[in-house]
Amino acid sequence: MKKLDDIPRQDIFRVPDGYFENLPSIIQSRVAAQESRSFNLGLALKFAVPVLLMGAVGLWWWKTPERIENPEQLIASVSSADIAEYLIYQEITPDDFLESIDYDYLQADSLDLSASEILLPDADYSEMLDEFAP
Amino acid sequence: MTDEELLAKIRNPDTANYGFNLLVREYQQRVYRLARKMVIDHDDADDITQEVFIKVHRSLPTFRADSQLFTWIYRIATNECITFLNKKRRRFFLPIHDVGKELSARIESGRHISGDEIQRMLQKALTQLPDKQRLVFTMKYFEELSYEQMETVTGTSIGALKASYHHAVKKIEEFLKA
Repeated sequence: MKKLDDIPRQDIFRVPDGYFENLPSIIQSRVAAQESRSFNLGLALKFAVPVLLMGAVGLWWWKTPERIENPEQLIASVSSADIAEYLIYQEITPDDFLESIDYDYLQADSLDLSASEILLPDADYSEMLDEFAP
Repeated sequence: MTDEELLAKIRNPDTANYGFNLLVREYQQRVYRLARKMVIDHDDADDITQEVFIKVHRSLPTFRADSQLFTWIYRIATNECITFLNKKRRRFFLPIHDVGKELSARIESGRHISGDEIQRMLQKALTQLPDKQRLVFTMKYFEELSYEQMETVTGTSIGALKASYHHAVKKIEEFLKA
């Protein structure tokens, strides 16, 4: 019976020529490639996340319809010049405009108009009085 | 060069690559020999060896030097060998002895294998052992590690390692007798 101690210890496995000379550089290349990949991934995440967040916020803002709280708010956003131009375009005269206003006499009382605020030259006053004299 | 000197070179950014190169050159043959005896085929052993050193490089920052550099690297190597064999077994759904048959067939037909008949018979006998038992035998018989070193590498008690080795020897001798 063959005993293990009777068998000389021998390594029967051979390696290709130059294998151990080249192996360290092969391993170094793989290590460098992995480090480069993990650096790029880290860099990409560092910038990608904020950009994606901003994009998501922008998309939400763009998609959300503007809600108008009330018509006065809308009118307030339009300039007087634009309103006047619109009225002219629609051929709405000042008289038509005045007729459409629903006066409240109480509102009229709140108008604080005094003669002193009507700043007319004296000659114009005289002309006016002559016109309306009985 | 001592472990401390080697680690100092690796941890210095100016000499890190050079230091790691030295480490690979220091331990590549031992790692390869272990892998080759476990998986037989050169290409498989080459893959395992490269993976071992890539993992070593990745784990070096956390190496605490409470064990020797060699036993730490060897531990990674043994784990890689066992993982490789388990994957092979799962891939082909083969029980243990069938993977052993495949490895045994590689000894007969494989490239880069020399040695006389009895040496090949011995290697074939090894392929019939369970992976961990084969690992213990290889470390003790071929690589001549002490039981204390094997205890550090495998995390198994010296008593269990001795029992495993002696069982392996008995099985091999029965195989050779047949």
